[in-house]
Amino acid sequence: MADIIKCPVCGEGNAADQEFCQYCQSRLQPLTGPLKGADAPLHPGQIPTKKVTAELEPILPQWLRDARNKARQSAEVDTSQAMQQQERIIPPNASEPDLLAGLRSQSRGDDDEDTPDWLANITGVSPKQKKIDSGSSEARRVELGDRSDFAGNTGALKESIPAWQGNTQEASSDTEKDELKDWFRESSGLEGKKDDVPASDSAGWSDQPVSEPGSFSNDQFVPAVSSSDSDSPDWLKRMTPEEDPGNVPSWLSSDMQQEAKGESPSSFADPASGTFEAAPSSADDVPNWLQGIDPKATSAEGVSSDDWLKEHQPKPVEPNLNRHTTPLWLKGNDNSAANPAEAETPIWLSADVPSPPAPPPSRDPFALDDVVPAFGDIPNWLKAAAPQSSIFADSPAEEAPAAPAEASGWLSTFKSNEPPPTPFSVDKAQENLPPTFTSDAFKDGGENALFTEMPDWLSSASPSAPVSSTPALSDSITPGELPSWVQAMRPVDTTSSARPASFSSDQTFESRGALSGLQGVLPAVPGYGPSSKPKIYSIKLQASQEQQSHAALLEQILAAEAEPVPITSFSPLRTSRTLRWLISFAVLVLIIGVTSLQTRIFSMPVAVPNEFNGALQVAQNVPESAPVLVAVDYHPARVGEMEAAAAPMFDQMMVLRHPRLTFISTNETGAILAEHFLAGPLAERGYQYGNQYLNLGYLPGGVMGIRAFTQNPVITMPFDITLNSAWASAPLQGVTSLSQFAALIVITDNVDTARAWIEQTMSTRQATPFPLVVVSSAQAAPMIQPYYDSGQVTGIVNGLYGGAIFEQNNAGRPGTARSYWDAYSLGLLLAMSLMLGGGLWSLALGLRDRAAAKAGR
Amino acid sequence: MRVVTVVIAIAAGILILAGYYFSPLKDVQTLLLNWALIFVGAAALVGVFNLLFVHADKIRRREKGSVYSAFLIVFMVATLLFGIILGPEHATMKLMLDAIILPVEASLMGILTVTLLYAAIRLLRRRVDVMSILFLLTTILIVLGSATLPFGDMPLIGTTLRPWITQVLALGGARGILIGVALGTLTTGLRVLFGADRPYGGN
Repeated sequence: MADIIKCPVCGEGNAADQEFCQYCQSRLQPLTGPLKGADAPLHPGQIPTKKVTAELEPILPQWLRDARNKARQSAEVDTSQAMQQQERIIPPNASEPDLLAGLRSQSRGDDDEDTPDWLANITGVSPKQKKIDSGSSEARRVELGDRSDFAGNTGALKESIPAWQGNTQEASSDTEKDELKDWFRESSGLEGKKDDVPASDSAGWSDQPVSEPGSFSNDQFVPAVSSSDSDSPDWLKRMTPEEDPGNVPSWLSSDMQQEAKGESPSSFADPASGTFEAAPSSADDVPNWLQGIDPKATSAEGVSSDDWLKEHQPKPVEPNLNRHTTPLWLKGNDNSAANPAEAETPIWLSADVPSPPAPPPSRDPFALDDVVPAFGDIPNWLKAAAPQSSIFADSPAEEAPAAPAEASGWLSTFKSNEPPPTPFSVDKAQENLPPTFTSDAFKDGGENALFTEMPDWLSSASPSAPVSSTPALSDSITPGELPSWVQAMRPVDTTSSARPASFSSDQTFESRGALSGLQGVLPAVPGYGPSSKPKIYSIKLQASQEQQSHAALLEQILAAEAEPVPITSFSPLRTSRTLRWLISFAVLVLIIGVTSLQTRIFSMPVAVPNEFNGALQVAQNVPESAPVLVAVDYHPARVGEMEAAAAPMFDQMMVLRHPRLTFISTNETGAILAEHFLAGPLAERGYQYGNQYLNLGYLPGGVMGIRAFTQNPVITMPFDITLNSAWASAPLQGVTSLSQFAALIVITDNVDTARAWIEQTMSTRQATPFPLVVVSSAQAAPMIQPYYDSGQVTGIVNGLYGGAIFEQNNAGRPGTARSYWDAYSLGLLLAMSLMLGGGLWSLALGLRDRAAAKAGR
Repeated sequence: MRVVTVVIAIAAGILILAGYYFSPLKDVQTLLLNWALIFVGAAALVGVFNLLFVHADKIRRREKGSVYSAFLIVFMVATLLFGIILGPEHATMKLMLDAIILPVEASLMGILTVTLLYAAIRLLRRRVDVMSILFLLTTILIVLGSATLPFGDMPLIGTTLRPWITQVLALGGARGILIGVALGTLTTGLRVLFGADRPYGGN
């Protein structure tokens, strides 16, 4: 099956590739490309262009079209159920009334026309039979709602729907009843005629099988009343062309005839008539509310702002009512002269868009101009009920003057199962009717809002809730079927194309600069700046006294965190000056006294250490006048001990063997100490410099010097302290190497020096053995002892003790050790006693302090 | 430049070490050692002059204790001059040694005696533990054993205990120290020869 596009206006089938309907010339293809020309979006300052509302059908949002399609599909099913549900009231969800159900279910009617029935009725086009949608994707429908939207919602909707509207819901128990029909029913008092749709009423002007009930086409009006719908007002049903063409109200038929002739219906042409003219034969067709519309009678009853339609309460039907007055809401772009007596034309009626030519007015059944003041403003429900705004603007055809209880066809457009009454038979030749809708027929949203906005009376949202109207110019938007109250809760699109109200009174547009095109920009001209000098603010911290105190406290806390925690320990032991003075006094007194007294109390030591014997042997066995190398490497501070230790040995050797002594020193003061040594305890031996002894002086380099001297003493130390050639003198006569010395005596108080001499001369002494005697202090003796045990040292003279022993073996000569011995012994005893006694005393005190500290903790 | 320094140091060390084992290198060893002696002697002289300049600068800046620096410089120069001019064997030099050098250093040694006694007395007051007590007892024994009594050596302590402590305990410890020193000296020398340590590079 080739793709066929159903015209949303006339319902005729068209080829898929056609852009406009061949019957009604409405646009079939949606505008998917960039908008241009008349389709371009409006810019500020531009006057909106008039559009044919019939062409706007394609711009319906996809969700709306889908809803309409579904409604049409289910219309057949709902039709059969309509009768069954008459007595059953299905209360909707009290909390969330599905107000969209009316829209959805409206399409369930037999008629799947997009054109509302009421529009079809107005235009005189007979509503087409509802056709089952074959599944063509090209058919586009307008969602009209569901009958159940208006039926049965007696609970929640009662509160939200005004009183004039609420009455319409009580009468009918049919959920599929059109709410408007109920309203009409209530107002007209014609109950029980809901289901009666005389076929004669529909004859003649409802021969549009495709038209949507209650929808309009360009040439006929299809009332949204199904033949089997019992909710349709009788007058509307009578307007159905299939049922009873003969029942077309005369007023309507006359209008249609006039419209076919190109004349505006008399019913609209003569608004001054005020009322609709009911045909005598069809006096019952005129809704009571319409029949009762009498400009003269209206004023007597008074009109309330909310119940403007109640003004059209059923009044005694007066066949002779002047019904030639064109109702204001039917007026619009009616080219016929409007009744100048009409004080006010509702906005939804006043439209610039040329409306389709009005049907031949036979009468003016809707003489509403007398009640024009009562309209004041078109109720929102009435506005929104019509999918096309121009319906109310300039629709020439009006509802058939059926019973008011039977809601007008255009109101029953939301009922899909109602055969569209066609009170009018619009000649198809009237295709060039002026557009039914105008762009400014509605205040908010424009014409596009017809297809996107829910009628307020269907919406539970507050009327004040603005609904952003986005131009649905493409089919790509499918937001989904959201309830109206949800949509009403949408935030207002502040960035819409519609220019928001400018808060600035300056409407001047900036023409240059970065702000070009904007409104209300402050001009950068003198005089707009601050006139006074700006206030100078101090950059100092403004803190109150309390804040400063808190800051100081915080600083103290932080500083305390950084401070080291003192470790609890013993109290520092203060230096006792008294004790030191006492010790010094005691020692000085004892030593000086004993020394000065030259006592001989303490005996000389008798225990001879082993190392002493070696030294004694060397001293006694040195060859006669043999060169002996003597290394004087002690400091002046130990002169007393060292000379006392070395003097007896040298004295014995000098007395017995008369050696040629050669002094050398790795110490800077060794040379002069050597002289002091010979001039002191050994002075009695009368050694002459240069004859018996020679002083080579200072040997630099420490260990390297010893090594160098060991390898070649002549080169290393060529001169003596007198800067004379040393190796040519008498003491060194015949000596050219270290091995030619008879003995090596090292006098030192330093362990390292002793080691250096021992280690560096080892190789030479191994090649040519000669004795090595070390005269050391008591301090260094233990460290040199291993060299004696290893055989590297021949003998060791250990401090004053060794000197004393040596002196005993030398006949007590020189006697230095003996003179020192008593003082030495007493001093040692004193030291021992002080250490012992003081130590015990300190131990006791220390234990006491620790016990006190432990007890304190 | 740093590489050159390292190369010279290592080469000299290897040559001197090899001179101990190879006879032909003994002369090279002797030569290098003689050069080292000259450098050391010159370094000693440089040290003397450096000391002179430091104290002179201290006097110039009038720092605290600059008077003593002045004395030091005066006597140092005088001694140097006397020594160069008169010679170390001159009587004046001997007088300076006997009158100034020896008494001063001896006095310092005497003060050390009092200080050691004072420390020994208050040792147990500051820390009481086994080692402190043992140390103090050992000192007392050695001191007591070194002294003699009017009637002779201290019996048992002087004749047995003290010799045993010195010949056995002290000697064992001394050997250990000497071995450690020897090994350390050997390791340090090898590190210098291998360039691991550069005590001469300034880094």
